[in-house]
Amino acid sequence: MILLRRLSYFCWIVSSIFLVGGCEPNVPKTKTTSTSMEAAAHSGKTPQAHSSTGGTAGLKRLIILTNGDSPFWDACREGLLAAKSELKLNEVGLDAVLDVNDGTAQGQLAKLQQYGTQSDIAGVGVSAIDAKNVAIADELRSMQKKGIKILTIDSDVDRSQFGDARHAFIGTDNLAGGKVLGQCAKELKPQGGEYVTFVGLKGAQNAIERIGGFGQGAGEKFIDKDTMTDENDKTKARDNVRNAIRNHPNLSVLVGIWSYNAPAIVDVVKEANRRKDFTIVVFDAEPTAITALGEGSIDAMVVQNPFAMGYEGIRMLDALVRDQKDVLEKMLPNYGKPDGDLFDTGLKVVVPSADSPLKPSDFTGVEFLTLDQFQLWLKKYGLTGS
Amino acid sequence: MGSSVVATLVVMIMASVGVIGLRRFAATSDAGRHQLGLIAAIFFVLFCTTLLDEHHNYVTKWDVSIVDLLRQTTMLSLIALGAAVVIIAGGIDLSAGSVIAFSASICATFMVLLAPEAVNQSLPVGTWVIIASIVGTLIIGVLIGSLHAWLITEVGLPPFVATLGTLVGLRSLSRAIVENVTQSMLGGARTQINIADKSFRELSGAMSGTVWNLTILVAIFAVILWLLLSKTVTGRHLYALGGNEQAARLSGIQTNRMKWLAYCISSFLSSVAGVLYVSQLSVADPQTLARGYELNAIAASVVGGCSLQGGLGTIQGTLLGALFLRVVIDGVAKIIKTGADVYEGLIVGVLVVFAVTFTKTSEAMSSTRRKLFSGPLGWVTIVNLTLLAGVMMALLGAKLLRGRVQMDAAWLALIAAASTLFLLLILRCETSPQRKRSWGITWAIATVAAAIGLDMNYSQFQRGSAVAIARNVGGSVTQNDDGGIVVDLAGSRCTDTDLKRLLQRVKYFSNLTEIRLNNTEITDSGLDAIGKAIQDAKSLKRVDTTGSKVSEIGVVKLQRTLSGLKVLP
Repeated sequence: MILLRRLSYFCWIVSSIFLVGGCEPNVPKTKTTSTSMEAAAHSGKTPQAHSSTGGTAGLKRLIILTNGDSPFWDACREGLLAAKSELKLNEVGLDAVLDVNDGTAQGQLAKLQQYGTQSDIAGVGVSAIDAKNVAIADELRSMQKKGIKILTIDSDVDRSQFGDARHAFIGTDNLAGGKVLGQCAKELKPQGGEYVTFVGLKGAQNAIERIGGFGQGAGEKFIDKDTMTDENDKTKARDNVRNAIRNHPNLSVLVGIWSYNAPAIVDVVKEANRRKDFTIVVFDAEPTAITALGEGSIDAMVVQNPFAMGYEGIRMLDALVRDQKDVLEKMLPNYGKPDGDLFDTGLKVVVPSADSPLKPSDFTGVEFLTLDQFQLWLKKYGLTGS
Repeated sequence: MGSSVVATLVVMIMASVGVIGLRRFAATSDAGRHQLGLIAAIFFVLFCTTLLDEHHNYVTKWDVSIVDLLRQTTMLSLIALGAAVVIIAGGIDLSAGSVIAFSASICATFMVLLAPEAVNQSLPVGTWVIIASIVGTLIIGVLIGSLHAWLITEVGLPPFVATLGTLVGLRSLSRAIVENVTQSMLGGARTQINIADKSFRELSGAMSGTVWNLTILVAIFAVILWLLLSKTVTGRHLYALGGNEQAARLSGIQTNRMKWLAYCISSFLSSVAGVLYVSQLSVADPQTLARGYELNAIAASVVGGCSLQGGLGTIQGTLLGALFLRVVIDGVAKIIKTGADVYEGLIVGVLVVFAVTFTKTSEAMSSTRRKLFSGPLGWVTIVNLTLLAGVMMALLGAKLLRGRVQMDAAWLALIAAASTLFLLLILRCETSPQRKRSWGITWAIATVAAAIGLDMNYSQFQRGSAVAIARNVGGSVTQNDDGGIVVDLAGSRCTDTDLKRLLQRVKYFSNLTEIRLNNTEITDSGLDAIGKAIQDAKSLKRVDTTGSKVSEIGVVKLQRTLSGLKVLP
């Protein structure tokens, strides 16, 4: 009896599969120049195990690990995907992916340790969340010893102590960027004033350099009142701006250091209806910040090129993995010499329009664009921000 | 490697079966059966991970995987043990994460106070500084536990409120301490303190990469706590306190002293964890360190068999609970790979609920099962769980089953939701257990058969759907003399939206060679969609956009995305 029951279940399974499997979709016949469409629709030519995420078995990964979650990295992802496609990475057994960190040092360290336990990692480009973190630097060295190629992207480790923990740094010269932003503030407000800088984490190398550079570029007439951190919490970013305005009655310049600080500053100033009281200069161009620039809510933006960081980061990791010396030499012609391990992805100064007090002649070594010109550049690469 | 993967899988299956079999025959307590169930669950998760991980890292990199698992498990175990003692005693401690952050900051602050130049220049601080800092930190940990006990026993605050206060307050206090001390001792306020001393870092094995330091330390604490709880009168008193506080007090047990002990143990262990985190990470960052860790600790204790009502739980169960959680998290990271932490919380949350539910005694299960979906709440719950199953399958199914199924996320979600709905309706029916069992078997067979059948025909269905969509907009899908597929939308009503719908299906043609978009309303957005949807279709040779609304920028971008493709004009 039990045997009969089990046999009937087995027959059930087999017949059910054929029952469902035998249902043919209704494919309409169309007149064609040659063979009927029916033959094609019913042909057994099925792409092999096509899944919505695509099969990646057997591919080694090149990973860009971010320092947090921000639209800045969306542009980087576009660059990564462009490099993956143009360099035909899949055909040489590689894949390129972006991995997002939770904004903490232990989170980044845990991810790096997890990569070390996986056999399909060929290279990692990391935006170091803490330039002076010995544990992260040690983990990068340990990964290099295992044969994984390491770069830093966007935010470097402390070069004086941990320069050997990565092959090279790809990103902006953040010190120069800070100076340019300071220069913008100086040209916009020649009489000087008090300023507050807003950033996610003070310990990130890019934050250290930008804040320091701003002070140098702005000059002595500008007084640093505070640097307020929000640990990637966008609600707190807004609270910081409110507190800064409240705590410093003579405050006249608001400086956004990380990409999401710009919309936070804009929102709070709008909410307080005090646009005319503040000069607002920011780093990076999130979509909302671009809109704000167009509305006149931001005076100037210094924009990095995260698309290039993603693109060149993958290009360099690919070259390292495949030992393409010619590519590496072209990208880093001075490698081995001081600062020869830095690949600068460039900076842009973006102003709302040609009527801005800022002029191209005020700057050297950076590209100067109006908002319209910048938006054309974005469209060229299919980006909504940078 | 293939044979070693198979061998490993076989061993895991045998171990799981063996453990489950043991459970049937073991004349042990509920706790013992619970622990055996956990061990089986751990093996099962390891088995699933080995199977679903494309690179079988548990086999190919077993040594590194064990080290990483041990490292994560030992740190979680440390705070979970403290949480377990408090829960067994009938309390709750929400402050573990903040105590870790505070202790880490205090330890680093002591080093700054005792050796400011060495810390500033990342030099060795000296052995006596390390010892003094650690001892001072641990004493402060005990003081925090004492504060909790005082607030609960003398002030009369509920444990939830007392430890909630320190959850919020300690982190803020530690930030203030760090900024003030660094301002006065290091010449400038900092939000964190970096400690580079190598001998201090070796406490956690960070320099040599070993996990034996941590493992031995946790083992020692676990043994001490096990002896305390199971072999001493004090341990019996802690259980009695958790089981029934009033009865314990009336029996002459000094309940306030027991609470003091429990909270001191918890805070002490969190302080130890704080010291080890500074050693491991080389930085004391009070803002971000150990955020949310208290919930992980409580989850590990509860999964390990501790009852939040108190009086139940074991040290060995808590260790197994911590191991189970870490094995699940590690498995998620190895299967999903990139972006795994997005799904980590979701999977752990569901598994924690399942683990606690299905390791209850059978008596408790049968009494709860009868009432699982009764009344209006039952109907709402059925809708809830059906939607949850569908959403989870949509998000996770494609990632877990990539390369093994043809169906996309939407179809997987539909099947999961329908299957779950039928299962829940069966469970809701008021009928005999035997009939429910046979319906359940029928359900399982029908689900598997339908899923296999749909998957086998999925691509054919999508091709037919593509033909229908093309025809609806006034175009066609045809085959040229070489057998290549041509999507002819020239002069049709096709918009970007129609094209995107079509592209989702037309990619199932293995020999797609040409797409004609002449004189249509297609814009750069449509071309962008082609670039994204057809990346794997190497057969596509030509896209004709003559007379459409695409710009040169869109054409250039498509050519860059699909190099080798001819885009007209």
